[in-house]
Amino acid sequence: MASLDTTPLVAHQFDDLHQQHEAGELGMWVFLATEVLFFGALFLAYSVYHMWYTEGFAEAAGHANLALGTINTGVILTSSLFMALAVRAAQMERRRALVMHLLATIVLGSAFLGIKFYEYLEDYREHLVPLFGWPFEYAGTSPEAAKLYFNLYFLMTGTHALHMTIGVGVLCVLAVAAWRGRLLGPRSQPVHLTGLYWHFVDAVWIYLYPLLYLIGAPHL
Amino acid sequence: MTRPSLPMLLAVYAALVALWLATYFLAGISIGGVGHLTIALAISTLKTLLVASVFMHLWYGNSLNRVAACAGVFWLAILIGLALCDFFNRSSMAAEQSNPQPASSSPP
Repeated sequence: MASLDTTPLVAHQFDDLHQQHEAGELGMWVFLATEVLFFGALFLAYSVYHMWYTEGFAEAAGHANLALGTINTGVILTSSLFMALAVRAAQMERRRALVMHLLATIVLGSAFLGIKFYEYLEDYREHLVPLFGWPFEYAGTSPEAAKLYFNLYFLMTGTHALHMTIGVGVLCVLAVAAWRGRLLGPRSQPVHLTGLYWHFVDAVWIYLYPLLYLIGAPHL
Repeated sequence: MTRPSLPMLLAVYAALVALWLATYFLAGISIGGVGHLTIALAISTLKTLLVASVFMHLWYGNSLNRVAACAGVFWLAILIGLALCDFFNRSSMAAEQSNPQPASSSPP
């Protein structure tokens, strides 16, 4: 099926397929290093304000939906497993398994975004969105700290959700290509590179979950 | 091409799920004193290491990729480390400046 693809296997600037794969992989890792710094700035801002307003942040985080945040962590971890299985299927030239695992990743990624959107809607109804001049009403002891917390909450989860949305879009393109019999064996690298991106976005959420949700738990 | 075996992928997933549940339940019980957040972030780092080494093939692939990944973490350490140095020393510097000189340097 892979022979349906008429584009040359190795682009002319590379000596061989191995070199092409190494270059692609390294390029993706360098991009991810810049992404670490991109998100790192947000984590730094969070750290400083959290040290200033530890109590206020914990109280404000109590208004985030811990149950949905916890479920979403499970959803995104499972999506990463299916992504890893998709990469394996692509490398082993299993077209059907590749398509199914890509679809499972898309479904779980979309479920994550759907749950996230529902949380945003809930926050909007409770007047906890200090953006766009919307009403912000907070009855706790330190509304200023809560405002900072919710600004960071929306900035960090919003940036993360944007990355997820881009990831789901790329996965859809890959799923169509895989359905047409492409992306198998020696042509499987786009699946692997998208996988690296997807796992990175998963890792960002692994840190967002304790920082934005768990600090609101009663004993933390 | 070397890649993680199927049992390896499933084992890592099982470990991730166990750590995910551990973070959640640890938050609900009172340990007292020692920061829960420190423990939670340590678990997060463990999860990230699992994801990076197996799901992202860092353990199996080219060592150049490991260098790029470590460079990202290193720059992040510079960003956060130096910024927090500033943060932790702000208060002492502010105390030194609490008796400002007469405003001789103010613009006319």
